[in-house]
Amino acid sequence: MDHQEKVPNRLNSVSKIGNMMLASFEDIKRQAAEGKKMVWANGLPGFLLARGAGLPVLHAEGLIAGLAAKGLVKPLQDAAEAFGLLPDGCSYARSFIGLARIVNGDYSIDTYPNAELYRLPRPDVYINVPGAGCGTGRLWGDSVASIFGIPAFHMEPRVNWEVSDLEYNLSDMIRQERQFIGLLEKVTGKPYDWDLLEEVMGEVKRAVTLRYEIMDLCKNIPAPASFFDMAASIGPVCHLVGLPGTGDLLEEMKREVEQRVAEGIGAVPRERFRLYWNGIMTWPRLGILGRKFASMDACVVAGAYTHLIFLPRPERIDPEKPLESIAYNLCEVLLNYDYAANVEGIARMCREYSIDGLVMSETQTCRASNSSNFAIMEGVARKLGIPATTMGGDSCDERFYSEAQADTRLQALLETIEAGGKG
Amino acid sequence: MGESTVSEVLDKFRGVIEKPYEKLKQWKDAHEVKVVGCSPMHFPEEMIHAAGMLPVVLQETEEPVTEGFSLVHPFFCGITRNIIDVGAKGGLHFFDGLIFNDICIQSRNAAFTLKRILPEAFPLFLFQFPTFQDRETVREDAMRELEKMRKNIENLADRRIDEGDLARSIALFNQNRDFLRRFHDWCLRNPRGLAFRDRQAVVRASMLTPKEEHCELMASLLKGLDQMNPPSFEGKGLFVSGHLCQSPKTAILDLIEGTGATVVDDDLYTGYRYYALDAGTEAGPMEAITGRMLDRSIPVPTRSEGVLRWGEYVVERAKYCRAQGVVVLIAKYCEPHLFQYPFIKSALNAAGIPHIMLETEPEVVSLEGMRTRLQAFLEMLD
Amino acid sequence: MKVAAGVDIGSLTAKSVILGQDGKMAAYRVIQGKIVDENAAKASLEQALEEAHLDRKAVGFLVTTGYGRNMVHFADKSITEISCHARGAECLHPGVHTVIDIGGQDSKVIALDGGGRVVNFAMNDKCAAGTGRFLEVMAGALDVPLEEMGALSLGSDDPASISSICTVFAESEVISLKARGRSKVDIIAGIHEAIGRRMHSMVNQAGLTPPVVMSGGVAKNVGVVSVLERLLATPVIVPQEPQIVGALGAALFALDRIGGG
Repeated sequence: MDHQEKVPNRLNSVSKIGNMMLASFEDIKRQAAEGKKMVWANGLPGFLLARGAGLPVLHAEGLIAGLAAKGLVKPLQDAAEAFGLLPDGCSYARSFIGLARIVNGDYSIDTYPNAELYRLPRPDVYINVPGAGCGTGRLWGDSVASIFGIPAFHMEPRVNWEVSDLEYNLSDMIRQERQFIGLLEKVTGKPYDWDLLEEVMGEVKRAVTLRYEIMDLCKNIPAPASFFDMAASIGPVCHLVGLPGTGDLLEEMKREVEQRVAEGIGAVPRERFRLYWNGIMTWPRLGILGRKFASMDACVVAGAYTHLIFLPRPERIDPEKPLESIAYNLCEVLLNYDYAANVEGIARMCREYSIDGLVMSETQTCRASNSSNFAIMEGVARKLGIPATTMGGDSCDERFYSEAQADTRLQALLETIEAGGKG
Repeated sequence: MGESTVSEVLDKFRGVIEKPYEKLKQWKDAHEVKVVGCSPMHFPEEMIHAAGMLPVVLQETEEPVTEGFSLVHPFFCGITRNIIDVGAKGGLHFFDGLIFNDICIQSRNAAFTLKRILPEAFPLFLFQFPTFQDRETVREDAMRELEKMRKNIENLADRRIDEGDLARSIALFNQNRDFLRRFHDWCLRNPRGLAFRDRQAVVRASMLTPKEEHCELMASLLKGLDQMNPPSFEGKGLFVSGHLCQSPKTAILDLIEGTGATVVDDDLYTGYRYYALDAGTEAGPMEAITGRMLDRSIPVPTRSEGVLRWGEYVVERAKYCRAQGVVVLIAKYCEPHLFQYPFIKSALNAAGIPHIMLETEPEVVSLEGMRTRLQAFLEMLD
Repeated sequence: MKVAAGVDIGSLTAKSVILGQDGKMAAYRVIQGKIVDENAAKASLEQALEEAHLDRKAVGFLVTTGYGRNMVHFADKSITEISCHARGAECLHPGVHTVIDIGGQDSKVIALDGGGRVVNFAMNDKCAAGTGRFLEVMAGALDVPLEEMGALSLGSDDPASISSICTVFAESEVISLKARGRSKVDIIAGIHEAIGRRMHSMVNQAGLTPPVVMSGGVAKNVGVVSVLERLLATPVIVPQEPQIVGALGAALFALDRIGGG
């Protein structure tokens, strides 16, 4: 196969989203300089409540993913290792804890290039609201809070161990949210601004709905946008979620994608294989992976990271009922159910997207995202009669990724799909 | 006289922890009592006992993972991989129920995986105890979760747990913990008295046998120990910290003492942590159990307290037992521990207490490397 | 007059140092061996003694160190390579605070206080990545003599990106890069970057305080030294004979026992 000439068809709107991300970090610095209290957060979407308190939020995964995609995350990991963190732990957490050490003055980055990038405002409060299944968030949050000597607030959805647990879990989640509101009022010294939250949730609903509409369009053959495009443009439903302008950007993106559908233009020059990516994105290799798959005529059209994590229940968002909206988007999501439910849900998604094969990303230090791999690989592959491969790597620690291994596994997957008469 | 009693009791304990699941199966067949396994750490076993069943803390066995390779990644912790592997091979089928503590991703994964591969084998529960201890509502949240689990246990046992049953079980478990604390105090006064591996066996046996029997044996053991004349302690004393959930492999316990140093105290789960705290009986039994689980005298790294204090705790304990150094044993891939480690390191450095961190793996590899590290550490203490 | 002897039995080499009671070095020897055993240690010691015109009876105290230290039954004492490398480096460069040792099969970083005492260390001995073995495997994959790798790497402007976490992964990457026509020089530079990153990580664990001394056979590789200097942003001092630092440290410990120095 000639891998050299085929490159992905880039969407113009993706780079605009990237610019908005960069501007948002500058805006956070500006607000801190104006004396606003600062929130650092990991997970989603609990920090939306901080937006309702008018507080700027530095979102861990949004920042770290962006830095990792640009090859700029090493100073944070160096700081973490110097602190004593072993590389086996969640690399998002390690990187953010490393950042905390840098911002707190415990690790010098004077000799590193781009040092200004890491001089971010100190937090006054930390919030951890991990995605379903992530117990590491509490360690992450407590570590950062301990470094700065600030309060940490954690919210975790209870697992729907049985389907019938949902109702209780929703009320438990809302209770936790109310407690967080109480903390925010203490931090700001003001009553909570429910009107502002309603406004924020309105923007959230618009953005998330548009994003799912865009991803639905990828059910078309050829898919007008790939998983890599949707990962690169995650900002409006992740770090930027609820900020003004996110809906407009996604409107623009939707128009661009609809145009492609009308003209039959795919995300990759020649789409012969449609794949599903389980697990998180391998950020340090975002560009390389995009090009690799495109060069092999493979389009990753759907994935757990893009489709199942970031407010995956837009229909449950009611701006007038923000606490319930957030609760549903934490509790009534596929990843909060058992593996059998995940197999059913992902198999259904694979049918809808006409998937030929599965790529099980083994982001090594994110056990929350890869623990179900065996279940999905066996269950979904068997249900649909399609092949699967694993692909090693990590969300933001590039040491765990091997190019040659990735090439071999992808090539083997596509050969297997072809041998089955597809592609 | 003392030594032969001690030797007899220790032999029984060593026997219990070797191939524990086979022994438990034999015990169950002989006694016709339901057996319920709890994953570490700190599930209130009293509730299971009060329902007339035998509670057992799941252990990491010596068998290498085989079938587990197709079910759980090699970069998950040893004990959860082992539980999944043993489960896949049918080694857990004799249990009448399993309760998993939702303390970390890996424990949760073990629960989900067994639910997937053994859907009909036995009832499986996930105990979602509130993780955030600094919440104002933590006591009511905790009681609510405990009540939910109590109902599950009652259904499993097919009988109610009344307050009297629970109070009696709490009293028995407190008595067992008291025996273990007295044992701990003897070891503290006589660090060369028993090998570290045997001290672990005493505690692990408590996790695997009926508390009634273990109490009887502990009474004999303590009598025997009082009659012994153990060698006096010289040389370097070490405090061993860490290893949540699973016991370090015997080869590692032997290695530490094989360097010539003596383990004077520990905070392992299969050590001091297991028996340090009682359930206070002033209020009702459910309040007692709740109170014990929320007791913050010993930091519980798998829960969130907002402040990470394990480091300060290790410093306190190391000073109390006058250890020359601390060995921090981290089970590889144990996130609750590895995220706390930098704070433990800082606290020990600030207190001027030398320490070494050793990562242990489920398959004992590179013992020589570990020996070199330990020896180099002891040379630093010279 | 008695002499003090130190023998460092590594994975592929046995090194010996003889010190007179005045603390001066009487002789040293490095021999390549196929296996780690007592005979290798004996041969190395005997050759060093021969060079110093001494026989075995002249040795007042013998300390062994290294991977095979406990195999040598005629040793008076064995001390770990951590303590010995620290002692040896401090002797050669008083005031050293950080020692980086990359041997055939393991690597270590040792942190010392100003007076030569070990205060912390980090070791990698479970995996070949970042060790001399790693370089050997890569040199084989590229069909380049091992001793030329360092100088060649300095000629690259664009090092290839190569895994630093696994030798097997890295080897397959090297093969893949060759197949794609990447220049040997860039690949070699990438290999050195991988080693440098790995060591940088270990330095972070142990703590970095200059001055830094590097010991072990890989210290002779100018490419690795150059990468380390860049990543650590500090000069890396390489002794004239970096392979004998451990044996020198062992000999110094032996010298303590015979009242010399």
